Amino acid sequence: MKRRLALWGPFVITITIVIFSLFSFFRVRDDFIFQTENNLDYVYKYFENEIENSSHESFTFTTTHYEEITSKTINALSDINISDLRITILDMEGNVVVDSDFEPSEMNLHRSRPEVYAIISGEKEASAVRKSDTQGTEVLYRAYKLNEEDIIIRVSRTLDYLSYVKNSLMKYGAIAIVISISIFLILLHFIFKNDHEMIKSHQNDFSKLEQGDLSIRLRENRETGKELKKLSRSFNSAMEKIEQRYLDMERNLTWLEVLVQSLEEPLVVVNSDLNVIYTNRYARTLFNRHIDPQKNPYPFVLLTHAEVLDSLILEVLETKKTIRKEYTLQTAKENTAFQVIMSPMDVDYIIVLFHDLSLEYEARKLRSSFVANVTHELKTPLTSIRGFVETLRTNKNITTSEQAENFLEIIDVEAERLVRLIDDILRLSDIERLDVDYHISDFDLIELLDECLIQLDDRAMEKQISMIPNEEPTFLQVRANRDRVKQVFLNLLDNAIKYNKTGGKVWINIEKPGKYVYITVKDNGYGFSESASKRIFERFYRIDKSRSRELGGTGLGLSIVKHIAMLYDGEVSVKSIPNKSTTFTVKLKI
Amino acid sequence: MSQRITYQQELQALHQRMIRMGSAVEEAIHMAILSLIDIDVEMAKKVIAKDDEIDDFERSITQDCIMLIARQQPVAKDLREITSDMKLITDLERMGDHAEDIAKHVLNISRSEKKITIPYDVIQLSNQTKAMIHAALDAYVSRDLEQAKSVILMDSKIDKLYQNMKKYLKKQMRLDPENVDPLVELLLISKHLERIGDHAENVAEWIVYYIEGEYATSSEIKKEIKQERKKQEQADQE
Repeated sequence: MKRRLALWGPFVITITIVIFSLFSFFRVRDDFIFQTENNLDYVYKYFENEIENSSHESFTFTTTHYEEITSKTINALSDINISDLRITILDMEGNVVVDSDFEPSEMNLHRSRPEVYAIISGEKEASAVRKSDTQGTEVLYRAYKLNEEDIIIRVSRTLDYLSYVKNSLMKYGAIAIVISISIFLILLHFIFKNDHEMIKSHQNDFSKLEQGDLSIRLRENRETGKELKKLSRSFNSAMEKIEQRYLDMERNLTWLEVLVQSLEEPLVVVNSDLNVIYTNRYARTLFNRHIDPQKNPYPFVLLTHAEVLDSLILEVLETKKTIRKEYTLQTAKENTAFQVIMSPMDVDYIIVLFHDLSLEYEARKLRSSFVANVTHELKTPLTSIRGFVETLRTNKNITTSEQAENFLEIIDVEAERLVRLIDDILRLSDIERLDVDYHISDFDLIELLDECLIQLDDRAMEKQISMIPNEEPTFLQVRANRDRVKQVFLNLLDNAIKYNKTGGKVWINIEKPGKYVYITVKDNGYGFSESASKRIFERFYRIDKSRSRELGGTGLGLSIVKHIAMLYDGEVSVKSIPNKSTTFTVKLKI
Repeated sequence: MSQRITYQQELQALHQRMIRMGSAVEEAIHMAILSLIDIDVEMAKKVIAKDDEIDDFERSITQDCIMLIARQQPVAKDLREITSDMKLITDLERMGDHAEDIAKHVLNISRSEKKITIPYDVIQLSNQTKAMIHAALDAYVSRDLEQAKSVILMDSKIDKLYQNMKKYLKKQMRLDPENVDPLVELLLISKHLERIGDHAENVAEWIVYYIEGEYATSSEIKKEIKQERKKQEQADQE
């Protein structure tokens, strides 16, 4: 705006002053010419007078006559300050007869001059302004038809004054232009100074905005123009809204980012060029690629090292359908089985999730090994039963009833074992299914222990094993399913007797220091290694397979103890020193 | 203008192909090491097959680089990128060759009648090598100067492990002269692993060249890093 004003203002000022000067000049010129015409009329009158005066003396005028009158007139008039006059006398043909300044013979025909021509054509008087051929300046010519005589009197006077006026006007006009423009520019500067400063500070603000600073607001002061004020106010309120919205968005984005980043599952986003453009923290750690793909996108294959996944991505891009497939991929630690889930996004991106299957694989393995174990354990007694039945049937050699009795005894033992095994399996699956036990009642734990000790007395006596329960406490009221707790005692004590040397000892201790009851069963039997103690609670795990089966164990006893402990919010632990001692501790919340 | 855009796209595509090649090399080395640890013949054969793929990468990327130089006349950073890429692929391809050689030695070991256990030192050496190529690739992808320098520093550890391995194998050979064949194979495998480390170091050097615009040998870079650390320590002390 200022720039435009600074350009156009001087232009307008110049034009105005020039036009004004021109008008003045023409006005002055007209006036001056009018005045000069009057003067020339006066000269003519004077001349005419002189002619009339002289005509009293003679009736015919000769050239000399005219010359006399001419010089007389000029002299007379110059006395009264009408100077630089020129008088020319011409005949009706346009030939110069007398001229006050020049020799007539040297002058050419004047017929074509406008003032002369006008008189010849019949006018009484005529004037013209033009540059004189002879004098070279602008001259006012005025021609008259002299009465009665057929001659033309032409009086002329230079218009030197006009050129003087013109020069002055030009000079003062120029000065006026310079002064006006200067004043105009100074005023302009002062008027726009404030706005200019404002705009400059706004410019700074805007460059900050360009760099992403949304907190800028436009300032204003007392002198700020109305338009600028209005503009900056609406700008400020718009900025307020934008900043608020931006902050909201940022908060949402940060929230989302935090959400995705803290996901304990690897998440990767791949674009249609098969480049990774986003990974969450878990994915980076899992594949040990600590590159920020938002800054440096890299091919998907660098992350997974499986080209087959690239073709899957292309398939998802084409079909726009989620694909789930299982692959073993190389991770930072080891090769791991994953379920790779690829789902298309709205844009041409694919979200890839890697679901770790190793736990599931482990579970699958456990299940199948359990089934294998169960079948094996069930088949062993059955085979032996069938074997002896077969022998009894086909072998005619067995004649003595003693022998047959012996065989039947074995069959009975094996059948008994089968029943026990099935009981244990059912019991175990029963416990596993439960969250909370049923048949809860209050009973005395010490009394229950005594009951179990009596039940196992015969077997202990066989191996001359002494069972030594701690004397304290004598009474401990608990609340649980009595059969389950009894099962724990029986299983632990049975093991302690079974895997003990002849003449060994078993110590039993019960205490309840707080919420939990601790049952400790210690024996000084064979014991086992540390690696075995890690697996001892697994189903069908046996340290020495043949011996254990000989002793009639199902391989599920400790597993049942463990699951009962878990049912009562507790746990079971074992500490064993080979050939010295074994201590089982069961913690129960009863 | 449109020509420049395609030029930038071509450069980008070149970069991505380089990463793909690097990924293939890393995979080959990984597989070679797996085949070594388990003396897995099938895996070793896969590694040998993988080398062809890497060679194809080398050929086609070299071609791409030459075409780019011829058609676009790159200058400054672009030119540095293309030239360093051309040097890089040679190193990458060599690494692939070493992986293939390791696989071949594994096949030899599997053929020998004597069974040997793979010493823990070899596994350590191979893990270190793997970590180094992994870090070098990371540095290449993110064009990270610090990471590239750290790769250069990793090489000394590999050299040390290799020397230990050599001593150990010499001792074993003296103790058990009948079992020399597989032990020699192991020695060669260690050498290949050590060479892979050297190539990874070269890769890191070229990354430094690309970023800084000046070619410095690894010893110079190491010196520089040491000086920087000294300064840092002094500053810390003050």
